[in-house]
Amino acid sequence: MSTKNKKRYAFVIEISKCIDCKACMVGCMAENNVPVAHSRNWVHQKGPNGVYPDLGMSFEPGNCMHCDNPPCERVCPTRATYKREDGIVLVDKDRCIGCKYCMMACPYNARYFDEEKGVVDKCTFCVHRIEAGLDTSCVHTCMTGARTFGDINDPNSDVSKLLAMNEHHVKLSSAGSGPAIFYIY
Amino acid sequence: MSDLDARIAIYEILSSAFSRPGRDLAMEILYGRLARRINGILKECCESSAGCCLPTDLLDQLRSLSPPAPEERERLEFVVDLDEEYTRLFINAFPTLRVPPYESYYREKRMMGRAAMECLFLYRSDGLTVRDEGELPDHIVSQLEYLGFLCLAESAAQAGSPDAVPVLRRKQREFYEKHIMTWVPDFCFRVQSHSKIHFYRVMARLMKNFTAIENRNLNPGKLDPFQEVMHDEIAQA
Amino acid sequence: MKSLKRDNQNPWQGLSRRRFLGVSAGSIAAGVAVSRLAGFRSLAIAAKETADEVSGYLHEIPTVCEMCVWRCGLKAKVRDGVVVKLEGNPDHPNSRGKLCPKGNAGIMALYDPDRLKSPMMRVGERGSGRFRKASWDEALDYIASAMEKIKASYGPQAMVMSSTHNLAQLQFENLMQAYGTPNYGTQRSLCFNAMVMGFTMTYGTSDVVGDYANTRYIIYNGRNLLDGIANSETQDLIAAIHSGAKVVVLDPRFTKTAAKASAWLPVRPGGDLAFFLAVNNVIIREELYDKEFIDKNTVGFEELVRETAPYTPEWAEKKSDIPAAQIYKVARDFAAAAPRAFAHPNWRTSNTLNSFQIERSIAILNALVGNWNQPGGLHPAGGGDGGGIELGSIPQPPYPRVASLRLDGVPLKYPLVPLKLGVFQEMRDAILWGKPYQAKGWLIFRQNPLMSLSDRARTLEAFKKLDLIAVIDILPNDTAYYADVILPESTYLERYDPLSVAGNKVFLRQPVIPPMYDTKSALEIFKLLGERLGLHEFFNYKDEEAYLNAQLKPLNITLEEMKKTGFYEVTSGPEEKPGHPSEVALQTASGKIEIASETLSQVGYDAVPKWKEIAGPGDGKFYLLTGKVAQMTQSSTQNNQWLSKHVPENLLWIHPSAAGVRGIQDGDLVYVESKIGRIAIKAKVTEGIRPDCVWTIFGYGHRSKGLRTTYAKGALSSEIHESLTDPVSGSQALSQTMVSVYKVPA
Repeated sequence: MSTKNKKRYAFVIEISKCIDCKACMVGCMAENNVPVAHSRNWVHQKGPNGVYPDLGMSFEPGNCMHCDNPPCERVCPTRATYKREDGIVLVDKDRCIGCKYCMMACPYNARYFDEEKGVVDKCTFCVHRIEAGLDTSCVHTCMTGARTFGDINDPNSDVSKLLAMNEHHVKLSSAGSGPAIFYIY
Repeated sequence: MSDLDARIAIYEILSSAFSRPGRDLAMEILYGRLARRINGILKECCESSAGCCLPTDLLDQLRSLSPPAPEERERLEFVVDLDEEYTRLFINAFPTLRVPPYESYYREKRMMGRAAMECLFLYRSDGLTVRDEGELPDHIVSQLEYLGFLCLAESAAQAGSPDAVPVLRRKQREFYEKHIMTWVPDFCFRVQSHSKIHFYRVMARLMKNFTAIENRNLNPGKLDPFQEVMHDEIAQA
Repeated sequence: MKSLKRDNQNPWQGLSRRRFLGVSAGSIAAGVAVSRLAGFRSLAIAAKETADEVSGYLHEIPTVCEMCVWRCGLKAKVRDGVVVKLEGNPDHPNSRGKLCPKGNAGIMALYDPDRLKSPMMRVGERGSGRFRKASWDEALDYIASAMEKIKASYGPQAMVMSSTHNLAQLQFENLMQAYGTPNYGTQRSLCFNAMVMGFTMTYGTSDVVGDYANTRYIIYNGRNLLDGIANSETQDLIAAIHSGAKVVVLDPRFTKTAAKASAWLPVRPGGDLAFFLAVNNVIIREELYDKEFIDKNTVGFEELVRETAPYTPEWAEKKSDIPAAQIYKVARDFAAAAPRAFAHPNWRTSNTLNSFQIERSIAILNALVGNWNQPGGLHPAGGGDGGGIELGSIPQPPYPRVASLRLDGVPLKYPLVPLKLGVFQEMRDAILWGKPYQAKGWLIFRQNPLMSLSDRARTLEAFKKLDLIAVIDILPNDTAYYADVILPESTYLERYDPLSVAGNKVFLRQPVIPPMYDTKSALEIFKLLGERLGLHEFFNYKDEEAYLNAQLKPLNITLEEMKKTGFYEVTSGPEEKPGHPSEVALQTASGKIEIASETLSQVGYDAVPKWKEIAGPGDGKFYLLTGKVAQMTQSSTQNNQWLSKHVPENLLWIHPSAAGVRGIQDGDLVYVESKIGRIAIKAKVTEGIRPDCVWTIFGYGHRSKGLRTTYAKGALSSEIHESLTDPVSGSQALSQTMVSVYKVPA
């Protein structure tokens, strides 16, 4: 299989569009049956910075970055965490023993321990929805279109177009994990 | 009366005790009919697992469920009191609902959570359905009725298809493990702590002890949960 | 590559039917005689079809959201009778397939363990919190007989009836009018009276929308669309910003909207009137207005020119704290962008005793630049509750004539306030003081006056004057705690409501699951109550479906079809074309846009807006301000666990300079004290607020322990908000309560 035909799923997030309403977080709770104490995604408020009345504030949504080179996968003693060919990083609940090494390894603090199930859990890129031909839940509900999801190996996808047209960044690039969430400021 | 019949009867009594009370239940309590029925069951099966392990003072409490010769006025008040107490404990209450009778609440602090779904699937897979006017699948009454139903099925299987008996026992054991034991002890403890009415306190105590015994009998060889119950009761006192 | 099976991360997969090898479905039940289950209350042997039904099938049912009043179209995903997901309906103009956090959290409103589950009657003293379960018959009979008694002894006007904004409100009003009381309490005077009246007195309608798609410049005054979300409008605003529109936000607080705006003007509360007067002044002085438009379509321009002359930006700077240069810039830029520019009508502006004139000055600013009905300007929406679509109705007799005065002083004290708006806070005061007559009963439909009306203690006192307090609601809120009878309504996911019109479409709210408890729809409750009051003829429908069938009659669709589609689009309607108002007659006295209003001067008010000085906080005190967050709707959603998770309590925003001198640090518990009371709340020390203001979210500080998630979280602003009223519009003047703030001693 040539790399050209391989999918690589990713998010592009346009910071200027996020209004910090947290619909993505609430929708994810429902879609993925997340325990109320946890969240699989987040919106970080940056600010207000400056001194009254010259202030600035922005909002930065995120979730598991589904890294190219996932640190969580490397440390998993049971190989419960694994990366699919399309880049999606998943936790096999049947294999997870709840040791939480992956939680410590993740530079983005994207994982949580599900006490009821006794396993570590996190964002799946809504793989069950993608495979049914749907958008991820957070993209689907976002009122302002701050999140875009798609295949960055497909030059015609919305994510590829956004990346081609805009300067973009990843979080903690120094960690070298190769995150698949790209931020446009 | 066999052991199994006694268990069926106790599930029936408990589920009616934790259903919305009407005049009938109030009268059963007041005129001592309920106490007589319970005593009858316990006497019949004194040798059985269900009866013999209950603490003796609980047996005394069960025998004295009804006050002697109530006045007409007291009878009417009792119907209202029972209703108020049931509302306050299990339905809606100010200042606060003390004892939500749903498993999902204890495990997830919400209604129709994972626990309720699991119960619903279990009932369905065994050919049962939740009545339109029935309680939610994880309501205490639904769960008690389900256990009663499994006992009825066990009883039927004993006569017709003995192969099914171990399957049915396993179903009961799993239901206890996955559902009853995760919340019913807490539920009973809450009723005992918060009910202003003797009847609910006694019924909760009966249920706590009875379910502990059931759980132990369904799990021979496992750590005796009855010890925990006794410990629990001592801690309360 | 891993197998597909392991990749399947569907969170509901683990719950599908499974296991118990050896005994197939139904065979267990087959062994048990049906008669043995006769005593079962909850479970029963399933009919064969049910037992064989493959569980896990996902139904998608269209309906309409009710987590706020925006009425977004929804699609509810239902699996095995459980609502597992709510998503926006792409066919609905208010949601366009998207949902806000509240809409997403509707599931937890449905599955809130604290919901009201059956009718309840009080058994102890009022306020003792002792209730018992009652049957619907008993509870309804009680309310009806108390209402009959009140009518017979004191007249129907002794009943106060109040309701929030909701789809069943039409039928609530029907019940009220059939019963014969004029005393209708709504939240409107607590919210948008000034806006509705300011725009109605100018344009003949308050139902106006900005044309976001084409606009270049927007001015908001207090409207905070990114916290006070109005789904489609919030979408429009972000899209407009992205296509380069300039946005100016006047707000004493650095809101999320302010953060996205081109300019944030931290205006002094009440100084917004000075700001708009000065913007108008600049536009007139520098002749930036649309002369042709004004000549053709407006009346009273000369009077405005005369009266606005003193209001220079230099003068306004002193009143508003907005630099004169900034005011000049806004005026010039706004006029340059016009007509593709609009000053938003907002909801509440700064909430002062001058609120009405603030709204008038905003309405006039729009008129000056001629943006009415122009691309990028303000458009008449032609929507409202009825919309442009004629729905069917059930024939009923005329209502009895109302002979008595209203309790809230409309129209004697407030001659211009429409009856539909009323002055709710005055109605409460009239109950308390027994003037002009003593009210005896209060029927409260999904409203929480104990929290929503300012001066909570006064509302509690007013309750003591009543023989009957009946509450229809979903949650055991603070008001329900004091009720004599509580009727539990089904949530919006379990019931029908009257149809909802949005644009050229009619939408259906329908039950996506049957009611979980012994609850009923408002449509049924009002009918049952009406029948007991002898008002059968006003409730001439068998059930909700019959009511809806009657509404649908003029349309080319049946209810059965609509249950599947969720909506009906009316295709043959009058096309809306932008054009000058001369083509559309305005509903004002003159038929034109009234820059100066004859009507206003006739009743003794200023025909054009003038400055009126209002007192500020004075030394060491603050303006007490309140507002919203995106995750909450007034006081109704705090108990929702998926929402309260994000905003568990409200905090008091205070500027570091003000906090510093008081020794207050972030997170400290502080007292906020007004003339009428004191609350304790945690401080949030932030640069994002004027140093002479403190701000918090309204809707926290629930006292009902029946709400376990939110009980005693945060504090309620209404406990210290004084009841002050704009004399023209009846709007409550929420920003004129001055408070001192000090640290709670350790």
